[in-house]
Amino acid sequence: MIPNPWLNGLVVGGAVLAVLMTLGALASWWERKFSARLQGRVGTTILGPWGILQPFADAAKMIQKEDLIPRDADRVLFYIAPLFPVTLVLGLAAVIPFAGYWADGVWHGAAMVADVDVGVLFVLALSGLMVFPLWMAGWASNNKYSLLAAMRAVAQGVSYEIPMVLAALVPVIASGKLSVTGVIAWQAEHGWIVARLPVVGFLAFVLFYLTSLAEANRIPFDIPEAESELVGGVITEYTGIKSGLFILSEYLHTLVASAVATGMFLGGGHVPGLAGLPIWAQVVISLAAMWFKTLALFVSIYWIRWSWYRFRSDQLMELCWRYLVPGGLGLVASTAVAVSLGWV
Amino acid sequence: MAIDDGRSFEHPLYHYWENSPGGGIGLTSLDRLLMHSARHSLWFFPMATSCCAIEFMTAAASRVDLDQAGTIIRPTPRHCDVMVVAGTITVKMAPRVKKLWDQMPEPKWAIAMGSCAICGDFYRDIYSVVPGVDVIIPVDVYIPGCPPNADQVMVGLQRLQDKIKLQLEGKFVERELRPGTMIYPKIGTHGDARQSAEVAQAQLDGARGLGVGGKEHRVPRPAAVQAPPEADATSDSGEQS
Amino acid sequence: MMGPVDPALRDALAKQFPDVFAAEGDLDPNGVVVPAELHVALAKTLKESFGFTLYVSVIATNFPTSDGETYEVATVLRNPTTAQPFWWRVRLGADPQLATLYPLFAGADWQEREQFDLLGVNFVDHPDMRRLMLSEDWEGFPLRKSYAIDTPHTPWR
Repeated sequence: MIPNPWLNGLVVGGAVLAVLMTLGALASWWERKFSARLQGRVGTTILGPWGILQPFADAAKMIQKEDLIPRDADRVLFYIAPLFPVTLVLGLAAVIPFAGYWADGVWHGAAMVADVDVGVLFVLALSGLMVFPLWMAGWASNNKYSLLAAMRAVAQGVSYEIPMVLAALVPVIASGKLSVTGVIAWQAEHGWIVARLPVVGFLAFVLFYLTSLAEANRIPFDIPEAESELVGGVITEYTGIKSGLFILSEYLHTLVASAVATGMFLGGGHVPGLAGLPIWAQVVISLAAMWFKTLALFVSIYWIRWSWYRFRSDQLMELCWRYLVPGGLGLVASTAVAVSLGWV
Repeated sequence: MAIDDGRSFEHPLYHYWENSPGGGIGLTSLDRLLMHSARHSLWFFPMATSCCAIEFMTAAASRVDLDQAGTIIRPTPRHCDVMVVAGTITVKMAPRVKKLWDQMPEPKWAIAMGSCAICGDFYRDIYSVVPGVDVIIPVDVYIPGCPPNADQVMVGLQRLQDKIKLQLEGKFVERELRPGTMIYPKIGTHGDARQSAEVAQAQLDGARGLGVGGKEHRVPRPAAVQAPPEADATSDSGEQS
Repeated sequence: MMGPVDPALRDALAKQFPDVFAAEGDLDPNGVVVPAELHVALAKTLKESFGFTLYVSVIATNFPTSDGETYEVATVLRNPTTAQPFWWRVRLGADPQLATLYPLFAGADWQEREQFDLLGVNFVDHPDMRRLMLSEDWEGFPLRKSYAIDTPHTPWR
């Protein structure tokens, strides 16, 4: 938005950072309220109206906790592992345009920290890197439950990257652009991927959605942090604010993954009927639309989380390699055929 | 271990800040903020061994919602503030309880829920039972009952929250005495002067097998088993019917 | 109490183990007393020929009689298709030893360990004869009549 990229990164980046971190904290409050209502309870009520200050109390409590490191743990990895998840996820959010506007018949992205030409590749790469902090935490803890959870997390993360890439290829092939802004611009002109490609678009969206769940370790793919089997998962040995950072990164990853899915398949900030309005109005409306769609996906992810069972490890792997990978390949092939025949 | 003066760790900068002009006010405000955050965000470790575990689960469920007070039940002791010992602690389990208690980071508290955790209940003198979990870990709040009602668990949690607040104010430094010496049951037992006469009479009648009003209500004995009718002419016994 | 046994089963058992099972009349509802040597053979017959493939439990009891100690080990099997139970007792003296049923029934593993733990009945050739519910370093067998119920076990008591 601001022409100077450094200044843009600083100002918009600061705003995105602030908004996302606040939303991440509020997401934990919202999840407690939502899950409580699903279960017939009420959730937190005491601190602040509707208990909304609860996450801040949690954070303040975590800061006071004693910082314990297991005696035989790998100290370097143990210390740096919690820094990565939040950093990676916020980096993911840097290439997503949170708003947009029409100017001279061309859709431009706005409220974006960095307009990277290879935005989709950047997103997929950072999602792939998310495996590392889980592995570091699990290995460095010197705890058999953490190690087991880390093994499973790595297996799951690495396996589900492939159908995720294949699903992300569908909008890339259809639009011919590798940047997230480009994909959204194409969707603004031709219609959302979900609707524009008759069956393939919807299936690709579902595939991307499921693989994002798997990358974020959400139920039904949350074997790495399965409480009844693995104590606390990879964060078993982490006390205080370090565990808080891991927990926060889960919410943030879900949020940002929803935003990415919205951008790639649901048109991002685009809503029909924006063409004639002044630019500031378009930016405001598209910002609201983007957040509406993102939060709708976010709510659905947590709805699934509190209703479904989790997959067993072998079921998870079987699903990925026997169904999702061939399915993804089929979707990519269909899209390529459709594009080359001029149907899209 | 319950922290008596409300502070668990003193950083070297603490005294510097405390003694700087005007710094004391900020420090006490910060202390109060941190104490209130800790009070309202107590994460539980369920050391649930017996039937009290069911009541604990009930307390975390719909009608009495422990999540209202900001508690989350975490499976790993490293994340928890409060260990709720709900159930009998056997000799085999005792070293494990101690180990998990040691793994919890400071500041930490313990709640003994139910009579088995308080004093071993009627299993007290048995070879395999530890008479109360405070043999092993220091307990801050005792919740009496066998099992306590789910809402009493919430009352116990609130008592712990009060205790944390009072500790910061320096008002409460002794361990709580066992409730057996403090809390009197509302219904007196046999021979108690506070018991009502009707209840005493009803208890005596029940012990004698009588019903309401002293009337006999024993289940009548079943009739004697009748001999099977002798209808088979080819039977070996040759008994006459 | 064990209910009435199928007459075919009773006749077959009486033929195979003539000294133990009476040919007529109902079997002892508390469980017929079987000599220790025939314990495994009886279980094998019941499992393979009569379909008692479900190992339910083994229960030992300590009777301090005037001429020494007696242990009665009752083994319970069940036929899953007819839902009929069958049990028998083996009488042993002091320092009881009995052959294990683990090669026939995998479920006998922990059941026999429990009886060893609480009463000291040793099952010969059991793969893993150690205590189950009490701590590994416990001394004594609590359910024996000679064991004082409030024996202290330091340092926890």
